[in-house]
Amino acid sequence: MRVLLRTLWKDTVVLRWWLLAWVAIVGGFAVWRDHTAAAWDAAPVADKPALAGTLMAAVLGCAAVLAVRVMHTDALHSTLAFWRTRPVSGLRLGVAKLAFALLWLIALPVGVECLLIEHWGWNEWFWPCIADWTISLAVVVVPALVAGALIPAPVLAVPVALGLAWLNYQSRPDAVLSEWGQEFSSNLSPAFWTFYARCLLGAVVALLASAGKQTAAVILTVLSLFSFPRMRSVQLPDALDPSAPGVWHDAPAPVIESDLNGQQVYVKMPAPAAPAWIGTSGMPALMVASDGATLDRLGERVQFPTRENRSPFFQTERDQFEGLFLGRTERWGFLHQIGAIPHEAKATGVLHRTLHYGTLAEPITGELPLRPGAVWQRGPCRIELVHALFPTDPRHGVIFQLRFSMPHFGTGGWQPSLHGTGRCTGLRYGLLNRRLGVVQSFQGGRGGAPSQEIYGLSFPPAPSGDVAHSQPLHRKDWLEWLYLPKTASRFDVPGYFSRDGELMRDAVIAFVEWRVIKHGEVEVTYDPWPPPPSAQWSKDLPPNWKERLAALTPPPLPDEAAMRRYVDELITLRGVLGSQPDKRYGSRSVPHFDRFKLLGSRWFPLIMRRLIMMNPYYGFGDQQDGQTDERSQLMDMLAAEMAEPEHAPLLLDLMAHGLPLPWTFKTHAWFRTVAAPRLTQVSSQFNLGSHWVEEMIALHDPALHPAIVAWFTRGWAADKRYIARKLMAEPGFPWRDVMNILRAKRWDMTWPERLSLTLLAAAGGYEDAPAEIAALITNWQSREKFDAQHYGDWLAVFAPVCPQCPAERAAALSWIVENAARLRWQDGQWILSAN
Amino acid sequence: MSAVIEVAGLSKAFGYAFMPDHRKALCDVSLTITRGEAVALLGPNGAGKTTLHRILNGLLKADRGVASVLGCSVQKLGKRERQRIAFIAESQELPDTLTVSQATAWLRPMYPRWDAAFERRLRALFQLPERGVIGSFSRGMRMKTACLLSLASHPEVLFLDEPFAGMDAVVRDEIVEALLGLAHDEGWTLLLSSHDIDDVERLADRVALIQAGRIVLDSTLDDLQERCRRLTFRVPEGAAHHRAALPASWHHYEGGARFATVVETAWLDLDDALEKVHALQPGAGGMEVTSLSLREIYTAFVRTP
Repeated sequence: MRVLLRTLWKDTVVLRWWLLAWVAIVGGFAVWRDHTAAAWDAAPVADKPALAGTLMAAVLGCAAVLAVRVMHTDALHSTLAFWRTRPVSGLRLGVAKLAFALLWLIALPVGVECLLIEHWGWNEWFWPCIADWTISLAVVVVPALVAGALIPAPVLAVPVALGLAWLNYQSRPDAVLSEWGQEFSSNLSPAFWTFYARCLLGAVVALLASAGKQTAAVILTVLSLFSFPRMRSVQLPDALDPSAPGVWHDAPAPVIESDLNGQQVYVKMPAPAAPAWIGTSGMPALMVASDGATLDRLGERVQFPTRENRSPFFQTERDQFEGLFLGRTERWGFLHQIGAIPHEAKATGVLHRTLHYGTLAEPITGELPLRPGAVWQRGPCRIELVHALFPTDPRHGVIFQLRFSMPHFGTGGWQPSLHGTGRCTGLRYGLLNRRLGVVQSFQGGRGGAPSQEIYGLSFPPAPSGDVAHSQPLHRKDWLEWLYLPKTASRFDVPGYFSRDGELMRDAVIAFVEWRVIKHGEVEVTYDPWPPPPSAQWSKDLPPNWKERLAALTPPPLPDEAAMRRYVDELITLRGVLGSQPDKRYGSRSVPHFDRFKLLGSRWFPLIMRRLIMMNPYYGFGDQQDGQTDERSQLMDMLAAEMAEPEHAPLLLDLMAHGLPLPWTFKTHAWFRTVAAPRLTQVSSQFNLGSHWVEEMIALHDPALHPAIVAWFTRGWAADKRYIARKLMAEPGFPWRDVMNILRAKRWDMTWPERLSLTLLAAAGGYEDAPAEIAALITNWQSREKFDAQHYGDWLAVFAPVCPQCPAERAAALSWIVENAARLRWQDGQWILSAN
Repeated sequence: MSAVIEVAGLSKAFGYAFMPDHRKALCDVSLTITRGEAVALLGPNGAGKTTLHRILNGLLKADRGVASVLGCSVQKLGKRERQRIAFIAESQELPDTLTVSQATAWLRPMYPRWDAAFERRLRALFQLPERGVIGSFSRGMRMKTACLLSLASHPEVLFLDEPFAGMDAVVRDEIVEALLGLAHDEGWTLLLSSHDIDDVERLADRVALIQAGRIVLDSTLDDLQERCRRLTFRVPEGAAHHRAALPASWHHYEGGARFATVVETAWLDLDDALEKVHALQPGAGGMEVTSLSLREIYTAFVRTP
């Protein structure tokens, strides 16, 4: 024992400078986290992920280097080593090295974390956190000890140590973490044993190598890396655990067929008889397999088989089909994907595919009742259901907001643990449109980038009266800046997410970005995402492309089927050849759409339909950056079509089905003579761009007024207030209908937007407008400096109806604030009353 | 006297037999050293001295033969045996990142016979500094440190492998004087290999000459000097030197036009020497006999093919 302690002391002396650096890094990391963490569940690393990642890498890297160096302090393999001629065995020396690693590389940082936790306030949750931290360190330290024992050269040993640690991580030790918790002893999984067996085996390997049994050590190392199962496949019925009381009584099918419309998953399963529930898996990854996809659009159908050289299995919702790319981006922080449009509204562009669901790794380990305040905890993971709504219309499913906490030493909150162990993947199951489905997955690393995706999280229908619905999700016990005191959502309105200027009637997905402004107020922005499936042409030339190009001639006796095949081949070759990186082949070889070869305009609608189906954004939109040559050709063809007035309604029908016509064509005589009336008929079917609406207004046709008013009901209100201002001067236009719609949506607006809209309302004689202007400006001034200069245009609208208002902008706004309560609307003007 | 070190039929080769770098380091070496004996291993570079030391300390494994130290096979040297053995070698590493005090503090619990007073005495004798890590020491200081770390435990067997290589004369003398003094007090068994014949003469009382992996001479120092003489005699004018007919005990024969010299390694008396001379060179005369130093004897053996 004395020899062991003396050797431990000797190694400590030898590595004192390294240890000093180690203590500084561990201590610095702790101090930094203590300094940045306002509470245990805050996310101190959110602001500086690069710094946090660097510090974490420094901690683990330094641990690995120290573990290697301690094995090298006594040159275990060298016959020239000093200790070889001394009465100490290699085994005893190895035990001393392990003791060193245990004391300095594991116990020290864990002790520091304990102090930190004590400082933050001890919580029983932290026991598994400590276990987690111990595991995380051991995952690096043990392989480093093995590498140091087996490889005498430090230059080689350190990379090998990191490689072994990486391989060790691949055993998904994060799965182990889920096993820590209330049922620690009774719920041990193979993953748990796998990992701990490796830790113990690693220690044995290090001892064997110290004792000169290198061959045995190497064999054991290899065995430990490859003999244990890395991943277990668990069928979905197992994962759902139908025997669990009160969870799910209907046995679900092991393979679930689903249609993927856009990105929203509708899982075809029987409706549950049991109450809704949310389960959280241990650490699974969703495994999805697909046989291919079929795209239906505009009455056309295209098959997309899976690519032959790709595995049919994939772990994220990213898949590659032949000629079709379905993508889903993973984003940071508060970026969520929400599929929000009711299924019934999706009339076109349906992508079908059969998905086979399965889970990897662990089964569901817990459940969370759907009631506010319910808490699910498993080891360091804690999920709290903070908000749940049960709409009367079951079509909209259940709305819930989950708060996911992983209080790893203050790195919890929505940010997964910093020092963690690989990917942290979880799935939350719930009811979705009366179906069971994966409603949310979160993944990210514990040590890496967290990301969240929400699958088909539904929201309630808008209350009657066209009033935006507000979801108060702010809880007083939350940190103020964490999130979301308010969202305004109107997901029941088709096309609500469409951006102006794009004819996306069926935007099936929106990106919702919550950006904290200040004091708990969150700016919410929506963007349609992702675009519908579109063709992504291969970068590899098809082997027979020259032959296919040479054979590309219109059929001599065209019928529709023959012409469709010809057009499809034309589109495909244009896509493939045009996508060549260096244009070496493409520029000379891309076949052209030749209107005359295509026998006049007869086949133009067919070409359009096939093109739209392949790529909904394809065509003439100004937002299209590439494919200039393509666009110009199609523009020529379109111009030729427009010369034949009988085709105009057909073109408008194409618009209604998603073809974005360029706004420049609105000035064409064709539009005014033929298209405008038709536009009136079809405008309710899709979300017109503002330039089309302006054109409708310019026609001064009372018949178009309902269509124009309807346009205001869709999409964001903020940008539409400019057109509302124009409409004020339109004789006979039901302007107040428009303003009522916009004012109902003003809660979606930022304060500057609301102020300008309210000034416009005041100009229109809304009684409550002056008081609202005063409240807005007063609140504004209480927070920051208010600049009246930005509202000159809007004041110019207001000034004619308020003769007593000063002309100068700042003075005018101050005057309104001062006199709002006394302003009365009389005879089309604001008059300052006596009281 | 009981044998402390016993070697019998020891062979060791490096490299694979079919490879060009295959080299036999030891061939059928046998040696027995009794308690209290100080044996010097002499031999040219590459003769196998260090290999024998390393085998005897359990650092290398012999291909054939047996070797034991303190009655224990060298492959099974355990804690108890190692506590009684000290190995000081020029090539062996030292704990370079420790100071002398730290190194002795580490080693102290390993040796039950560690003598703190003796350690202090050695430190004073060697004048080792208190500060500074061993890695920063000069070559002489490092060897003194090695001696301190080995001798403070009162070893019974001391292996010294080229301990004085590359050292200046002053330091070498200091260490040798110290070792001589301690040897007198401690009565240890010593196996020393060195190229420095003077030091060997001072430290050892028995010499084993090893050449090309074989022990070609094993004798006490006195006996060696007793039976080795240089013979110088005049040869008849024009006589041929019949080197092939030289007696087996003659080494390093140098024949000139008028005189010839040779080292006789089996000296009995003058008559015996004259008889051998006349047998080789009838008519030779004027023979002169001189005694030899160990260096001269060693040189005579080594230079004889």
